[in-house]
Amino acid sequence: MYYKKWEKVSQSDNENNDHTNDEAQTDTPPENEEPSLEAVTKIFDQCADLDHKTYSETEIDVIYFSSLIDDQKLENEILKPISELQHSEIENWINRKDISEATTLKEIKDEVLSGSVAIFYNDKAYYYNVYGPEIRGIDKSETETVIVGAHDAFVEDITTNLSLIRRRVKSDKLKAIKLKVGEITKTDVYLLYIDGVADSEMVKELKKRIEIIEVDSVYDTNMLAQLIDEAPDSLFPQYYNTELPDVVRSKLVSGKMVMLLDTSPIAISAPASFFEFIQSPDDYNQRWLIGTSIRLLRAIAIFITLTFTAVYVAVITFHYEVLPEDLLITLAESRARVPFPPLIEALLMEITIELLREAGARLPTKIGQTIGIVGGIVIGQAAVEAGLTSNVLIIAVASSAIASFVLPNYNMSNSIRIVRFLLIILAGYLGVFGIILGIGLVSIHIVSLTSLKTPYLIPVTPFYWRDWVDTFIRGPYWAMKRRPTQTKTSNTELNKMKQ
Amino acid sequence: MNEKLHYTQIAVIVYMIQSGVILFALPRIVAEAFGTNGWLGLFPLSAVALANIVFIILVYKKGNGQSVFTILEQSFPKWLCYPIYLFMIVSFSLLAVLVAKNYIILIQNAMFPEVSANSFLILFLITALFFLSKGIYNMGKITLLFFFMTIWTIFLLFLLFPEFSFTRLTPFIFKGQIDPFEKGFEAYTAFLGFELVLFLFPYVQNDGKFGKAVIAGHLFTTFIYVSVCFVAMGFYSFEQVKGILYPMQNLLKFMETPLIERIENIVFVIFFIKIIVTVTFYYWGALQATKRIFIKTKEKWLMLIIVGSTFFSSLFFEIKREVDELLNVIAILQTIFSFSFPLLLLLLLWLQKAKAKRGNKIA
Repeated sequence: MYYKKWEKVSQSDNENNDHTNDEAQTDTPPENEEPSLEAVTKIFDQCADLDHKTYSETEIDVIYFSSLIDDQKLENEILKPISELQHSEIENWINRKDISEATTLKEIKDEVLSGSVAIFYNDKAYYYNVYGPEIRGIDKSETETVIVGAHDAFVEDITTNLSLIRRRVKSDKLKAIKLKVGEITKTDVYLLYIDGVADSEMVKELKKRIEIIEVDSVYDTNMLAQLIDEAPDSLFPQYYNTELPDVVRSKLVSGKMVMLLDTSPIAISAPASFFEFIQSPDDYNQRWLIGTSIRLLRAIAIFITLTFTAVYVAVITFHYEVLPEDLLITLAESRARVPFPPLIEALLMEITIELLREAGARLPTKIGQTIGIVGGIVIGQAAVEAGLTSNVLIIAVASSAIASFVLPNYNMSNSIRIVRFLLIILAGYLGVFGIILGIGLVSIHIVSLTSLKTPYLIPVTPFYWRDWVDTFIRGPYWAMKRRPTQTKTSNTELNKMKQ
Repeated sequence: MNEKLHYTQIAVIVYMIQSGVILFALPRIVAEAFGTNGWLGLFPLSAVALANIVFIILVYKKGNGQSVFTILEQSFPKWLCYPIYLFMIVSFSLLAVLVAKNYIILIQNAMFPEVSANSFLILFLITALFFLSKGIYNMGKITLLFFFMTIWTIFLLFLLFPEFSFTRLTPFIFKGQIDPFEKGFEAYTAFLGFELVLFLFPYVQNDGKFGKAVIAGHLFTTFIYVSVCFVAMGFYSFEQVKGILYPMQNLLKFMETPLIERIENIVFVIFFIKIIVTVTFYYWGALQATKRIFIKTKEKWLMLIIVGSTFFSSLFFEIKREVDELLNVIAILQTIFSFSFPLLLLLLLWLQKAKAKRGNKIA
């Protein structure tokens, strides 16, 4: 357990290592020192994008990172007034504008790094936030598409993402704890939850796990998820990730916690259950019978992805007898010219499909289409005509590839695809016995997984029949009366939180 | 967090440990044991097992859910407990490996006649070891998932309904050549496995439903056995069913759908998931006893040693007949154990209570 390791490390650090840090940093001024212009310029020595303006008439110094601020805002709110003001009016202006005063050097340093402008006047340091770097506009999600429902997706800017969520949850109960991760990068993380719905113990636990992370930088929420999960070596994602604010809203009201990381367009929610990964916002926007059918289709898709090619290999290699006579003849004809054993044949095709998929994902959309044509028609057709594979295998491989794309979650779909390879290899050596053995091993593993100390396969095992109304089926809204057991919320009943 | 086994898990665990590969042979065994309409004979057998279960539940109630090892060690000195533990370790772990081997030999004969059974056994035991390493609470959860993964096979019986005929059941009850003791005992072994709940006491939720759950699990097993035997006896004639080694397997051969037929091997393989539960729980029982002897050794090593050593001892029995013979001996020992051990515990509990009372009086 990764986070446990840090837990130990951070404990021992606290015990014996509190004062050694200061000695090591003799070059830079101690951080609790009074903020002064010299100290700040010394800290930001050799930062070419730091702007330093001096107004000799009024004896004001202004320092900011030009790359982090909104030029317009800076000009209108700070620079223009300063250049127009008289010496005597400055104090008044600062008070009126509610510009905060920094008490320590660390404070002013952090503020400048977060996009504030530092103002030095009369041996005092003030700061005013003019953060406003260029950001991408809100757009549709490329990886999670919704047919009927809200299309806006998160962007890389955490404030925009927060606003997307606040717009949807207009409640004073929506709390956001701000944390920082990354020893060097100091990236902002917001831990969101709804007070009174989310379990406070879980919030504490999650907060603790994020606080003890010790890495130079966290690049994305998906990385954050790997740093705080319980089984870092598992194949399966233990936190649900999404780009859609709509999904985040539904997670929050169901009593889960959501984490946002600055510079990442993905939110993760916890605790997560395996069955969340077959759900899509579309299910809730359709009428319940339709939503249920689509969800069942996805469950079948998982099954097809996992076993279809493996069953083909097992049947062709070991169990001809299970096929009815007519089907057997068709199969035998299609395989008559193939020189490889079924396992090799299947692996060849599966790897080709994976290559095509990866190439399609990395290439720009327009060239990506060409890859589809090259792969689908040229390789598929040619491989059969050249006698390298059988038609039936192409059908099996293609169906399981298509089925794997039915899963709404990209991370889970990747995990399932890897398991498929394991099953194919086992099927090649041990037939159906291998497939069942593989499924058994994977089941044992997946059942023992936990997400924030809650069972991953809830509500199937441990069994909570009440939660089934929103697992394989998307029950009618009148039947969905309770929040998921997994959230451990004391506020179990839905729709009872009027304010 | 105080994790405990839920009563539904207990019921499922009991069912999953009990039912095993014997299901395939059970219609023949009951026919040989009780004659015509032998499926009715399962009821008295189930009642005997139920009586045994009641003893176990009594131990749970009288002992207030304390571990059987604690009860034992409170009355006996350690050196007296060790032979009992040793017996448990040997019989449980041997039973586990033999059940596995028995199944593996069947699979190997049916599907891979040219491959050595032992290589399959290694794979089987690795899975069991992995299963065992997850701890009892996860084992409970895994068992529940495995239950869902296998229970659908019972619905295959519906496919046989068109062929079912009441006339084949005959109006006679328990007629023909019968052997209610030897064969009847063989049928009784199908119910064995419930005795392992003795070791679950410290891990169950204390909500008073433990006893009901064990009984529910046992009754579910009885229901499955009876319905399978009933259908099989209405499908085959009496003489026919006696002549087939695995009547259920033959039944499956008969089923046909447009896409798939002759699913007997596939269903047989799916039983892997059931057998692994039985095997793992027997190993777990052995592990609990071992932990009492080697208190300081890490559990991981104990598991490896138990599974490893039983694997090597299973190498002495390569033919199905040998495995069957030994299994039979162990089943007898196991039956004696499952009756006498709860009785012994009840006696000890009674003595402890009497002693405590006397102590109170003197004080």
